[in-house]
Amino acid sequence: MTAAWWTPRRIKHLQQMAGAAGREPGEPPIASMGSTGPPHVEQPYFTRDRLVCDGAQVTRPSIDPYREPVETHIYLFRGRVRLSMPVVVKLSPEAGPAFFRAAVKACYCMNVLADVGKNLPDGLEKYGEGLLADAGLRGRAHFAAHVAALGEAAEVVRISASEQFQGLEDVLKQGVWGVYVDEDLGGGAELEVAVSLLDRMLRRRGLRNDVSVIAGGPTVRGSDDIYKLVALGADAVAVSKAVEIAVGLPGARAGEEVFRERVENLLLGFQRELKLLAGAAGVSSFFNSLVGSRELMRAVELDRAVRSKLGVKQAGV
Amino acid sequence: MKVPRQTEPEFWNVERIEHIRHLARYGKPLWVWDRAKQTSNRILDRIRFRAELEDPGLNPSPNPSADTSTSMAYDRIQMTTPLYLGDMSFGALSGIPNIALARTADITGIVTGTGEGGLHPEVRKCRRITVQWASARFGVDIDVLNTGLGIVIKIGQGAKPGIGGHLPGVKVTKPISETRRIPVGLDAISPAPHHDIYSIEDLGQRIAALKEATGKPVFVKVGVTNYIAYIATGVARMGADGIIMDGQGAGTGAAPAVVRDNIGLPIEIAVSVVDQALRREGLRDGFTVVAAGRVSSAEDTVKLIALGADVVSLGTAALIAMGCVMVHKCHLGFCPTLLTNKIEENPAKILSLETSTRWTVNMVYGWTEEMKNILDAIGVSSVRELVSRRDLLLGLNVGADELRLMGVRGA
Repeated sequence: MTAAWWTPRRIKHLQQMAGAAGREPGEPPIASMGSTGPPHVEQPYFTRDRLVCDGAQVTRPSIDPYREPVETHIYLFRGRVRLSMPVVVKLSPEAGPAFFRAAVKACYCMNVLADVGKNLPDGLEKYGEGLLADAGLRGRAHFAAHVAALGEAAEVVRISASEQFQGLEDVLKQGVWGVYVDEDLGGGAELEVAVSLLDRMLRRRGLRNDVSVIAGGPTVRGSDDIYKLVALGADAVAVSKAVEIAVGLPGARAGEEVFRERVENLLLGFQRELKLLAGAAGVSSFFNSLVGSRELMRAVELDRAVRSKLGVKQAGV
Repeated sequence: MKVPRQTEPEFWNVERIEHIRHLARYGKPLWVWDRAKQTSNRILDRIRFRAELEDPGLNPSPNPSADTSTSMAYDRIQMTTPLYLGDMSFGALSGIPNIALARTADITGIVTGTGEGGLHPEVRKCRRITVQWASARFGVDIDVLNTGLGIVIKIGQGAKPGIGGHLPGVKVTKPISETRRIPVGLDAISPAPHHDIYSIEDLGQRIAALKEATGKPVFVKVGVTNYIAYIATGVARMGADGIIMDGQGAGTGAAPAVVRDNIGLPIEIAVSVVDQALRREGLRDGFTVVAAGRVSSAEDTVKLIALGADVVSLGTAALIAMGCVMVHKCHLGFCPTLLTNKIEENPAKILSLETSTRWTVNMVYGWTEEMKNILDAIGVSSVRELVSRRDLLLGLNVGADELRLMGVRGA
């Protein structure tokens, strides 16, 4: 049973990019005629479905990612980690061992982080520098822990997606390198709201340049969600269910090599789509110009209270 | 013929397609108030004329009296009705539709934009066309620029603001390769920006140069993006004769889905905001505002004019008049209705030029009749007097902030 926001349009899009369907793996899917997307045709499932990204028109030039550079890389943890794009793949052991191993390797090759949680199968320790794992695992992974269980080794603190950040202040004083808004921990707030409030709280305290923000979970559906969450203040966005759906899970009976190729295709597709979105807005660097750049978005028919939490202006203003 | 069932959410649903087909077939109105608006959820669908709320069941009269004539570009281009058939290129469309659209303009006294990618020899014979000067300059030379009523500098389009034109390789056949002077079989991806227009000052210089070279009116086509009011005032200040604003949801022959679905604002917001901004700056008189993007009916047209547009552009609607069934396959080159299929030297099947022209001409006539009926119902005697009459409108279930911005009162 997949959730309602996994529309056939979304599933097909991801599977085409991963190469589980269609003939152009790794390429942003092309469409024609008018959009059928939210908020005015397809129903909006999340607040971010009411956010529109900017396109540069005459007052400034857009950037052509087919011919000009758009840099998607970002830095985490005070410059200790450089990712090729603002993406973390969050893995669950329920998706099966072949996919798990394949995804860890694909992430390593594509230079994005794999969040393995509490699980690290044998033989994957050598990918440690590309892993985000719960504290206590062997290897050289970057460790994450929940606020309540923060040990000395943890570099990143996992929090739920909420509008309050109780307990976080003490943790921040201990000098953690990052905060990870993990939807799987619950919390009751929408991801975009939690990210935006967290980013602004960290900025208010003068900590934003020292503390990375990672956010994500099963509601992240593709590069548009990634782009919007980055513009709302995340340095990197965790994608979980979308990767499983893209490679054909549940149900795909592929081997590790096929899964690995599909995850790599998907990540490459994400990167190309992110370049298209940023290029259209005239943004040449994610890390320098997009992270927290709410001015690049407008809200279509979004309640004033929510707009003010997000810090996004009304469409037309 | 009944339209096959649609399985996914779609703005251009069966009600809308059948309405346009009725117009195309008979050239006569089907209704006064657009009944298809109940099936969708745009802001424009939730803005109503006060007159409709008083008499929702009004039937069309055979002899409506309102005057739909108008003009563009400081009165230099006269039009019988405020319709502009959107800029669809030779290559995106399969040739016959391009000719049909251009001839429709000549027959009915409206204007057709020809899009990027050069002119078909038959299109070139038509008088009431505009030619497009787009970022790849495909097919542009001084003869082409001198051909039509005006020149359109295409900065962007509603389906993909910030992204250039895209003709998939499968559609770059020999005839297209010759018109555009590009290799067969390779994607023709136009640059995202014009590399000689990086600012509003650059645009001003290009407008001046095109006017100097041709003496024709120059329009600027943009996608509706976040800073649309500043863009429009800049375009007007730099001496353009009009702006074509293409809103979210507008059609395209090919665009990356992620861009199409996430960039761009609804046209109804933009029209009103731009009209108010131009008036504030003293730039509105004579300058033409063309509104495009999901214009599906005469009522949409009249509402957009009441919100502040002068002329409304139809793209998808014109294709539907010629038989489009909205299967969203234009980029693949095998359009089941032969409108956007790839252009081959010896095509197995070909659209009838005569029939397609008749259908689009009928659509324009039927559309105009419905517009006249609406004008009569709202008590406005001409389209020119309707521009910016936001007081005739009422917002139902539209947020207070949106209504304030658009200058429309709530119910």
